[in-house]
Amino acid sequence: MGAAVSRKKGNVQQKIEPPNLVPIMNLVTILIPFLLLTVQFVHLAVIDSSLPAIGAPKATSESIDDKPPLMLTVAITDRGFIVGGNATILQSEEEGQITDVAQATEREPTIPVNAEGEYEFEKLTNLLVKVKAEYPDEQNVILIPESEIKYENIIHTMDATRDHMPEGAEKSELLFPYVVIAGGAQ
Amino acid sequence: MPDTAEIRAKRKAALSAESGLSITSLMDMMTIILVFLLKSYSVEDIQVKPSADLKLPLSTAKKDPEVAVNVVISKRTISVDGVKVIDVDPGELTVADEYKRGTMISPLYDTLQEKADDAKALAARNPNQPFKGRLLLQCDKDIPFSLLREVMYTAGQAQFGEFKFVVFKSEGE
Repeated sequence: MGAAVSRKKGNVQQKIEPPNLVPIMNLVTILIPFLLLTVQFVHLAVIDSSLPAIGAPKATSESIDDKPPLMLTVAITDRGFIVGGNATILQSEEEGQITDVAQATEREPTIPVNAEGEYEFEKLTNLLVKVKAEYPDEQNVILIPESEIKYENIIHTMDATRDHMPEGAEKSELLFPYVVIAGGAQ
Repeated sequence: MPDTAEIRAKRKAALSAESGLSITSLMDMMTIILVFLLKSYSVEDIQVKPSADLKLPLSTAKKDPEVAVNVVISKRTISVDGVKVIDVDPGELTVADEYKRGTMISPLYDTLQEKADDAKALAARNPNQPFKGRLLLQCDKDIPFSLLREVMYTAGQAQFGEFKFVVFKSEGE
């Protein structure tokens, strides 16, 4: 009997004590609510833009070479996009420079809305890729939206003019990242 | 029979040795949650309170936001740095004409002018923080350009010439 008891005692002493996890548990339980509060499930970004008065000098100071400044303008109307600028590539498509909404609305849209009345942003990007190939140094685009154009469509137009993803490429190429919004005086 | 009794006794002893709750599985779970939350942890300076009246548009823009005067145009109000400045007609999405001077929204101009003066006073004392006239614009995606133009024009008059449109980053990019 005595031998049995001593053997039992030996067994208990050999048993490895499990680590005391309670302090870690305390720490983790406090950390989790804190992190849950600060966690972000939506990520924000910003798009830069400037007023015409501040944006315009940028366009002229950079174009020291022979080519005249492109002055690429994209008017957003309810009928579609009207792309203008004093570039040959655009003039060949009978597009001259446009400066305000009234001038733009007189013209047939370069890229009309589709049958459902949706804007064709991809076509705009494709056209601007051609313009960028002609004017690789140009970075400015002037947006002229009509009054009733929704903010969402303006943002999407900025996306379409900012960069594009060439097929098979891993990184997007910049097109015209500097956006100036010209409201026109109406 | 005596064998089974012995086994039972042994089991009982083993059970009593593992006294208390077994929290190992809970620990496993918490560790995983902790790692996940730490990964998605980020501190951003911009406070966005999404609501039915303020739905930011999605965009492929990648530029991170920075601190600036925060103007929020929702379908009901225009507010500056969290303080309501003026009401917006939720149906027409316009500002009432009595608050406007031409294209300019007077109450908004006063508030922004104050902010600009504050920022300039700060810049005069601290050359590391020059006044750049930056404005963060959070607009609902259904706001028409006419209202946006009025806000931008007003901001321009109040010496804010650099706009940053806050958008949601679209996923998968």
